[in-house]
Amino acid sequence: MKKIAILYAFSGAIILAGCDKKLDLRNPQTIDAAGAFSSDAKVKKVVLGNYASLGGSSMFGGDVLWMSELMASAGELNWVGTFPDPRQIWSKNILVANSNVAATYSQAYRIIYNSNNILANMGVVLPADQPKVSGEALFQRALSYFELIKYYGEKPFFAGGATTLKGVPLITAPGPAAPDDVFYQMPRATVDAVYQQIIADLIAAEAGLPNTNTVYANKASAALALARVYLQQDKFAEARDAANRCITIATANGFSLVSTYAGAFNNATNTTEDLFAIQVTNQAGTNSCFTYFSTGPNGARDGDIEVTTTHYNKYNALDARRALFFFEAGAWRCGKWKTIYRNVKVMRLAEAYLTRAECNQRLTTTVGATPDADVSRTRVRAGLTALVGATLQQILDERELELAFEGQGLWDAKRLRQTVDGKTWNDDKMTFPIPLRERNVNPNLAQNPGY
Amino acid sequence: MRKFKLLLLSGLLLTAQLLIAQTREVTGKVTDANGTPLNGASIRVKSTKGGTSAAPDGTFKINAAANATLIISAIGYEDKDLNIGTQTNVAISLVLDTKALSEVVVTGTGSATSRKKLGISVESITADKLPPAPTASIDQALVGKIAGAQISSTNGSPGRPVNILLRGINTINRGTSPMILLDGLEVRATDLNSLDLSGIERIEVVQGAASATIYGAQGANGVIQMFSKKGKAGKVRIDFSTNVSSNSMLNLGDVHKARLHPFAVNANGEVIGSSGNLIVLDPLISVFRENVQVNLINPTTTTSMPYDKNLQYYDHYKMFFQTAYTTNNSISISGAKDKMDFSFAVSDNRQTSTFKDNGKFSRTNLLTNFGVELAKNLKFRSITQLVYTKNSLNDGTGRGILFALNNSRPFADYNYRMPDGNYGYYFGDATGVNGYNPNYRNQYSSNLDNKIDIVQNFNLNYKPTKFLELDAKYGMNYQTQDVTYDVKPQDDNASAKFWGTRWWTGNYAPTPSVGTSGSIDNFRYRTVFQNFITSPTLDFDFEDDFKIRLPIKSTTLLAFDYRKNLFKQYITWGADAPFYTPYTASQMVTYRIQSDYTEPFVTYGYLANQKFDYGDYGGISGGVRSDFSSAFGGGSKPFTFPRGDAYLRLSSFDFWKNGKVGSSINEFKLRAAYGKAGIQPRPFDRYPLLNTVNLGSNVGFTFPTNNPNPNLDVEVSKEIEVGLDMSIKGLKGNWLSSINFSATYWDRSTANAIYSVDAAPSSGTGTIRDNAFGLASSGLQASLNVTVLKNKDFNWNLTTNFSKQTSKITSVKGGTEIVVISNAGSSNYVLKAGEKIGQLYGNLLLSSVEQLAPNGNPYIAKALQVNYTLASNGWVVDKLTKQPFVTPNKVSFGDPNPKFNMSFINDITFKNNLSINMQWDWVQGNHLYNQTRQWMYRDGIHGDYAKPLTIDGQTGAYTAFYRGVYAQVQANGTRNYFYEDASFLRLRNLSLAYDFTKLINMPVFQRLQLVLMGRNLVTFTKYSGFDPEVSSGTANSSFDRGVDHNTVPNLKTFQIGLNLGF
Repeated sequence: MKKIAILYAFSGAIILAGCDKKLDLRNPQTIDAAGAFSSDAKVKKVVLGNYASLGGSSMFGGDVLWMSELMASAGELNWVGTFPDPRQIWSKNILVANSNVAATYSQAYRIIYNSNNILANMGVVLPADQPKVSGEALFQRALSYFELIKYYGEKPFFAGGATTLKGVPLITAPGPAAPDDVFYQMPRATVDAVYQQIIADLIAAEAGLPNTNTVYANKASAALALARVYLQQDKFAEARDAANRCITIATANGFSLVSTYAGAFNNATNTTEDLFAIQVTNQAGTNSCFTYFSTGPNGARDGDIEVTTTHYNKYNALDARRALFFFEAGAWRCGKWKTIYRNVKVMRLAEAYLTRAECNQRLTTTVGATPDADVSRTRVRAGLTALVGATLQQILDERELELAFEGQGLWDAKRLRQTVDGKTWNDDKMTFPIPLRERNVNPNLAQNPGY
Repeated sequence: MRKFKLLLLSGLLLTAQLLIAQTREVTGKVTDANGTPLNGASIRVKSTKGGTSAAPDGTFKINAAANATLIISAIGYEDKDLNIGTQTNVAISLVLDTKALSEVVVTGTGSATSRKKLGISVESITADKLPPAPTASIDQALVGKIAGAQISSTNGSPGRPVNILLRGINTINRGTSPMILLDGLEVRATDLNSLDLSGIERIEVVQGAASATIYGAQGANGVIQMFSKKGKAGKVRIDFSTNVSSNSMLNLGDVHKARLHPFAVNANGEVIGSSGNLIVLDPLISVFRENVQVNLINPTTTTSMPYDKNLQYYDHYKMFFQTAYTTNNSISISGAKDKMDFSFAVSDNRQTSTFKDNGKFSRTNLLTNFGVELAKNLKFRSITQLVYTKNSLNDGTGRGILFALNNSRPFADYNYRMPDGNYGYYFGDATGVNGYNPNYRNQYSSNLDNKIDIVQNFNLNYKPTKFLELDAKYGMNYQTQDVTYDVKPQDDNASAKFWGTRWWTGNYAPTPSVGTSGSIDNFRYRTVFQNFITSPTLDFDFEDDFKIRLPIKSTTLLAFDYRKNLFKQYITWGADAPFYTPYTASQMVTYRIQSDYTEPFVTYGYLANQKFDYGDYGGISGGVRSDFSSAFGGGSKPFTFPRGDAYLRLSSFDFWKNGKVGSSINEFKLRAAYGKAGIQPRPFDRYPLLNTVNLGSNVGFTFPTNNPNPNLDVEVSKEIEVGLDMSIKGLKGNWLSSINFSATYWDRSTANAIYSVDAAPSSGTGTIRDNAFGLASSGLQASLNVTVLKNKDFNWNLTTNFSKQTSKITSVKGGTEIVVISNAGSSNYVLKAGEKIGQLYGNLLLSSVEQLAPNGNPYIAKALQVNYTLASNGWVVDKLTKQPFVTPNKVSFGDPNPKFNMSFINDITFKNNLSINMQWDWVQGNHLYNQTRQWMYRDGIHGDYAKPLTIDGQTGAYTAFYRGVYAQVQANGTRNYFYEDASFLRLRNLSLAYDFTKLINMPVFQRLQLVLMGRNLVTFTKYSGFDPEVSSGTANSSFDRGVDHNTVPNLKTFQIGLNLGF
């Protein structure tokens, strides 16, 4: 009897233990990616997360700004740091394995991936919020594609033959799902196709975004982005109109130039002039322009990027913009990126005035204001005299000084068909290579000429 | 014929009857040579079927006729035949069977199996063969002891684990740690090095997939099983043991800083800055305000001036290294009576750091082992280990301190205190940009790590009939660890004020630019692991049970086991401490929860295994195991692991026994086994999880860059092993009287190892975690045990263990090469199909100007070769710049893992009083990337800088060469110059023990032994770093095994100990 009881006890233990089949164990403290788009609140969190991705150091957290400036240096910037990858960009002698080139490419596509998924799940967002949320996702996607096409496209749009020039892979649908998804093997779309997508996204974004949106994308920033895109296509009328819309909406909603030039930089919070900026605090956000432009005593590296006297001497002695440079560790330094934990300026209202001025001058129109009025705003703020009967060159010079080292250098140099350090605007080496890592895993990607 | 048979039968019956008539009860007691009762020894009357077994106190009763012969046997002892004559009470003492094949093992087989009938390879060692390492930990003691295994002590700091590699590298995702079992149940939460050696009686190791298939998805890295000491019948035993050791860090390569300097000096030979002023320490802020002037790549700069003027040379090692002391005390009480046995032990280990002011480490273990027979054939056992570990080491690995010292120029006086009584942190760029003062860190930070481990096993065993054994085991293994890392405010420190920042920070609080200061990090980790195993075993003897006249025995093992693990992590930090003390995290201005993480995991499996033995001649077995898990197969799909083995004992056949070979080789067994076993993915490897990111005061979600395959599979390793075990009758005399040899060749492969492979970034995904790698490994292990000399007084035994193994990557999904950075710093490894796993990857310095690249072209174009020459140290340098030539392309340097490793273990006893143990470990052909040295090349610190070399007829200690080695092509890039042969031969252990009991003749003492021991006393190596055995990568990493980046070397130990037994 006792034997039987013991036997029962043993077999009972086996059965009890065998019953537990709950093997789908998840982490109660983290969110499964599959459930990320299950509610309005979660989708909005993903949009916020995508702003953080947009502000990653390899995108607007600084790299796409200083890379443009280094490549367009033309003897006005020196890279003296020890890092080999920025040095390659500065000397326009880039290896396909360059880590900055690879990082920006990957980061841009991560933002696009997020946007695609947000847009595909718009159905769970409150109907009233849909225009804004989709506008933000489109804005994020368009800005990313714009950086990609400018840096990695075979040649600029205005080089001609945009419908055959190789652009970048164009993905606008959510995914990928499985390890063998077609998205892992995408070929390059044409330059024209990518531009069409960017323009369509920005037009829709501008329509959907609100006039003000705290530190996030708004109507005016979408319009200014559109103006930048049109400038890269030599479409001056469209650029002028976009810039004009930007100024009109912005000034009607409390945006304005700050009173001093120095006051427009090194800000912990957005100024009235900031249409879009990456938020940096000591807790979150990065500013790699600070890292490389500033100096050790300010908490940065050892002053990896120096400003040469060639650039410094371009300013009038009275120009407040010249006074912003500071001399430290043996060279002039760009004061726009001097202080630690300060926002990265992506779009300032000043740029919209200068774009409108340039386009009105080229088209001999006065949409919104006269070129003289627009170009003089920033001049007067800098302590210089207003221009009367400003020539195109004067406006372009003004633009160069006002926006110096804020990331527009290479794009302006190219569209103005300039030669930089002996390389013409359409030289093969004025474009990034498709990263080695991408081509290793995607056999359908062709490399850019010259690499 | 038939009649004859009948006649014979009746005659036999008659005889039997007569015999029965004449039997009477014989009582007796079976003990070992020391008088310890042998519970369960079997006693049988020769030529009859009757038999009995000894009670726990060794006594037995049996009916036997006068002049009958008793055959007494016990596992692990030589059989004894005893003619009882007319005695009715006999005392029998059995002697230990020293032949290797006499033991019984259970690991890998699931049921107790004599080594003679084993088809797989199982290593085993009794605890008395393990040296009392100063850490008193089991893992340290196993170094060199297991044939086939590579067990190495890779960091000399207290509490650091050893690296264990049993058979090959079979995973990249999970590392090489084997599964740890204690008395049949898995110990997953508690580290192997937390368990105390003194409570362990025996250790068994199975190394490969073929021998670990019964452990299924847990088994592929092999299994180390420990068996707790049990109380033995007889007088209650009390053992007390104590020892003290002094330990100092090895510095085998004479690592030091250049005793000369290359800095700009004035006419008096005083070091000056660019201002022309002398370089002096500002005493108020402990900073050299001005940098020294030196251009290391100037081809005329040499390291040739003495530190004898305004700058002095300080030996930072003397300043911070100290002798560490270790004490171990343990007491155990054990005994058994009637149906109960017990063992109770407490041990305590205390260690100090080899760095000054760096805290202490202590571990206390409490063990109980209690067994009782509840009913006839129903046994219950409870085994408990309680471990309390307290660690106040400020720098747990010691690597931070070593890095700080090695990267400081030697003229920094780190013992200098400013007028405010504080230490400075950073003495300015003059003393090297990567150095800092560890005194500052020790002044401002403290660390307290309390850990409690509980290992509780219950076992119920029932044998209702002789055919059936039921066994159920339940184990709970719990670990809770609380760590407080406290960083005090530094605002009052004049040096910190000068720099405008506090230097030493916690792990999470951001470094503030000014003002705020002080932080507290709290870490809480808890692991609860439960393991349940139930197994019925069926044993049949075809002759006895089925009356089938075949000498076949059958063993059927069925088992179910279940494992559940729950890991929780809760990390908080507080920042900005108040300006009064004491304070806790609750007074901090900022308080955040850094991590709140829970990781559940469940797996279970079924096993069926059938074994047949045919007499003594041979046997076969086969089985399957099926595992389910929350971590693989989408949480629902099982994986089934098959196995099979066979053995053949040629020495049991008559042709062998009677032949010539039998007279010299008395045991010869061939065996072969095949099996699969697995390594599970991490619990959440198959889930893509969102990250959260702070954006101002908001929180956003971001997708992981790594996308997993949701149907991730268990990694499956399959293995074939073949082996032989033999005993050779040695020479007739005292010398070489017995030789045992055992060898196994194995070959294994994994087709679906998990690792992340690159995905096209344009997909928005960085990498895909998938079953993407194919791995293969093979090896040979052998052990040779020789009784070198045995006579009345003297016994010298020599064991030689040998291991050779190699692992490579056979395939990578997508075919790309993956460059990974060592966890230990900036060294690069490459993972590439067709290459050995874990190869260092980097640029080459050349040893000949004409050296050819793999493509057949010279590295240096013919036309340019005239500019280069071979320097006197064997490297190609540019004649003009004096810098070495470094190839622009990167290549693999080869396999850093050893070609083979061997151990030679001598055990010598003299008159049973004196015993000597000497163990030599030889590791041949392994390489280390000396990252320590490379960092010391950065700022001209390493002693090499003072070594002159001749370039193109000019001789001098040119800094351009050494700096060029560091910086050419890519600063701090991985290069062959620092890839060094780290082979070594080490006197691991030398001990001398003398037992005074017989000398002093005090019956109260069973044992009174004095032990002197030395560890790591002698090492022969060409390695230029501190110690060739270290590795800085993650412990038990699959690939990160070949870098030395400021890792604390092993310790040279002198120990004195006393063992008392009552």
